[in-house]
Amino acid sequence: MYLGFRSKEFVILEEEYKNISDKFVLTTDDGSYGEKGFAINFLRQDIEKGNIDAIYACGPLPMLKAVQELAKETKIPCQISLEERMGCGIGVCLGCAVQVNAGEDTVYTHVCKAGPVFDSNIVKI
Amino acid sequence: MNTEVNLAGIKMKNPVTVASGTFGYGREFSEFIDLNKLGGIITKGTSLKPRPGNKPPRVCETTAGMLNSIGLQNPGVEYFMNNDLPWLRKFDTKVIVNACGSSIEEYVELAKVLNTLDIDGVELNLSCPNVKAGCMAFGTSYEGVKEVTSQVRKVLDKPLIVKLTPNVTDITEPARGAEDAGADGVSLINTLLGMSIDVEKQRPVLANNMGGLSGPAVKPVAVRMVYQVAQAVKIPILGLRRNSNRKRCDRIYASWSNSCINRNRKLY
Repeated sequence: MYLGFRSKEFVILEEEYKNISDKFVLTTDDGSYGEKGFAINFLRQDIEKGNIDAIYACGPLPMLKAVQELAKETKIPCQISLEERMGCGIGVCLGCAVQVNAGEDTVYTHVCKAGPVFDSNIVKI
Repeated sequence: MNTEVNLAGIKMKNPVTVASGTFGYGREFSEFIDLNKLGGIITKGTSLKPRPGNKPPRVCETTAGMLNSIGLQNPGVEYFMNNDLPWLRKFDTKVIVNACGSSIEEYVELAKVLNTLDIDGVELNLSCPNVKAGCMAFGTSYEGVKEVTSQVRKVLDKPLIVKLTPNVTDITEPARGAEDAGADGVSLINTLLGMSIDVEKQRPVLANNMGGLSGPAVKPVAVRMVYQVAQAVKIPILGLRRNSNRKRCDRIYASWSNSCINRNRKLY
């Protein structure tokens, strides 16, 4: 479990995650609590050690994008949980669009019905 | 109680329809409600070719309403006729296709296809605020509406309803354009063009910057425009608004029916 926060004041669910994790790394961007830096950097180190079989990620889009690239680069299976503003939540309004990889074409799928968890190879974020 | 109505030549068992874009092609909602109970279903805006839609974020919440900028994402008329239409036809409800395009030629081509399908009517979308070319560009003037509608009228034998945009100075002008071009009815309103700013990001919330405002916030505008159009044209009006509960729905229907009796014309 790699749990990243901006700084100490934003840290939540530390004990809960620690209790269910074999390995637990907590980071803050400014180093005010836990390890200093982005959680993904510590994930990368462990991937390089060969300790990671799969990645499941949720969080802000820039972070997910970085995780998606890391998974692609290291060829580790990865699933990401996306958030998007929803109107209906049942696949009707088409509000919560996310682009999927479809070559030259622009194709959208929708977080509410097709997601929210996607294989990181499928979506273009 | 006999709730049967004839709206612009479409005989419906009751006056309740669903506004285009709020109901897809009915499949998702069929898990929650019995589609047979509806007088009619107006489909998601459908174009000649598939449209991918706009970049996200596409929706955002506002005070007493929401903005959307979907960009008419739809699978195209060919997909509709092969997949959604046969499925929709299993239900005892009228099927009205909301038709959108980016040019007069495209509207006409689409209307030619729709004319061959087993549908009950066409709602001509001259009012989507979220696509660059077409739609609302035609819908804001008497001449624009009249031109597109009359071209479509020439190739379409089915009941034709023109959906109007509220983003105009005088709603009666496009309404008269539709009537003079031979439309069987008008529906109103589509959404009001709006914008919401994310103060932290210092940019509009929607990727497309602007979007259409709907919800309780716009209801008085819709009611006002239906009132104005009712005095300007003789063709029937399909009033599009949010029915949040049955009591309110009954009340509106009752009050509008009353006004119809006075004018010998029905407003729904």
